[in-house]
Amino acid sequence: MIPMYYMTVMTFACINILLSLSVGVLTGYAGQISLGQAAFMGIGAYTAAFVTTKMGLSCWLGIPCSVFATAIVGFGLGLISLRLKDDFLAIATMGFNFVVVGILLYAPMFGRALGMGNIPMLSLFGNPLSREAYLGFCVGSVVAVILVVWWLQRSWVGLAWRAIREVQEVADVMGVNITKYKIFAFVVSTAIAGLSGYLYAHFVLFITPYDFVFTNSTFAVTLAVLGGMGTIRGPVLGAIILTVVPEYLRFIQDYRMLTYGLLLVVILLFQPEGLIGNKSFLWTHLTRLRIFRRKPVSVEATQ
Amino acid sequence: MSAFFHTENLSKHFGGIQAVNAVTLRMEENEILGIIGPNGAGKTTLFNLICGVYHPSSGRILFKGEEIQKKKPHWIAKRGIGRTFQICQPFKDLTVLENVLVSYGHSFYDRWTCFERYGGRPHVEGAMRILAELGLEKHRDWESKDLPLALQRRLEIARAMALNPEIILLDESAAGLTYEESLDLIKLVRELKHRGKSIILIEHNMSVAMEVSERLYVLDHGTVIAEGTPGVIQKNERVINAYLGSE
Repeated sequence: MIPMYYMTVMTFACINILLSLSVGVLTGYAGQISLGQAAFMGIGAYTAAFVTTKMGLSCWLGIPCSVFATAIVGFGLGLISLRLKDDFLAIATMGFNFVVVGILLYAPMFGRALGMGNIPMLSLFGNPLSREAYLGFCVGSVVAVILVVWWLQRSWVGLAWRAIREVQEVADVMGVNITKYKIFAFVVSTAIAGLSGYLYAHFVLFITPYDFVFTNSTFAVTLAVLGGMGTIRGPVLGAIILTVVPEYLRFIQDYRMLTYGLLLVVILLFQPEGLIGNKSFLWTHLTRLRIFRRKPVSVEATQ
Repeated sequence: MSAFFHTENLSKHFGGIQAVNAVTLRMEENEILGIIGPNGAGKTTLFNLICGVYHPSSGRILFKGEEIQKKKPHWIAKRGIGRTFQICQPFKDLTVLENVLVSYGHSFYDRWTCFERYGGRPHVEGAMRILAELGLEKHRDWESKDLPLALQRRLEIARAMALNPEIILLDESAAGLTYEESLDLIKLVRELKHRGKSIILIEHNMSVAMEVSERLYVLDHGTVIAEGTPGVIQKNERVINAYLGSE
């Protein structure tokens, strides 16, 4: 029997892994900077809350609703992103985060600053899921998302994303429809963030706009950067570290954001590839070990 | 009858600067066309107009009778116009094979094979064939930024070839190459023609341009000042003045 405390930490780790992977897809693979991922998580969480508390629908219906709602908004932001890149895109997504929080703070249907409570726990055949079962559901969601991201990044879609990340204009001249693939990256990324919001809402059961403010978007980026962009393992490790370690550093709780900021600066200065990014110090040394050595890409490998 | 490829009074200005001015050029199928001119003559801008990076301020571009001047670069690439860049622009963190696979391309809706690794086995085999033809198969797993310049230039041609283009635009492909490497390039360009490709090349290296081009257009200040075979161009007064300056 796992103690409740550890289960809570593990569930939050799963939610953060999803948030981190959403950054990993958008920024790590497709090279589109987003400083508004918390807003998408918020849209997912509020959709889940709205569907169950206001519309009285099944909490399971919340999954497609949350994912679909965030994906639609992601599609819209993707359209906007076609005209923006780099710093300007970062600022636009940051602004988007403020707008979403502003709407949640002032719209009566979302409970304004008081947020939305009474969100039901997930239940199966009328019985609420236990914390263990909920953790299992979160782990299952993480595994499913990892599989989807892995599938995408090894496909030609992943190749197109990486080409866009490298030099967008050249990718365009090489026949990559950058409009389509950038929007697709936004849709996939925001859908994952929406799913993390759904899991968050049904775990904490009470959400406020302050859970999805800009600082949390910075946190999401920190998770992915710490682990290593352009990989799946990086964002996963980053999320695990930054969920578990703060639990042992509660005495500096008030300086948490300061610590994240410093961590981000240090990582970007000394290990821009993250802790286990493809060219990080740690990963290059690990891959020299036989068990981690990757086979070169060959025709046979694609069979 | 319209030519295989032709531009008609093509102009492009950036603010007050007229980069390309009423350029009309014609190319027949399987021809090697050279474009030469001093620095700032508008040669690369002309390439950018042809492949859709810029849209012209006025004029038309016709490829096999179809107007393409308002199309997007990826559409033009798929339609059969591939290009290289004056300053090599490989996707640096991608391997040589991956670079070629990007332009080998894939239709998003093509039986979902876009979700197979790199778009499926036929794609990898096709890309490997192109690498083999250009002598890059040994380097397939290298990150493209690690390639020496001559091989990066070859990779750019391989990437353009992967589009299965009818026209290949070579933007100063001999720049920075040694004499021997330039000879290899000339051989390669002739080989491409032999395979039925049409080639437009911008060259600063006069010996390469004169050796390989069947016809040349000379640009100066965005305007075509001469057109003809290499022999005719070499004796043209206006061309000599544009390069050496008039007294």
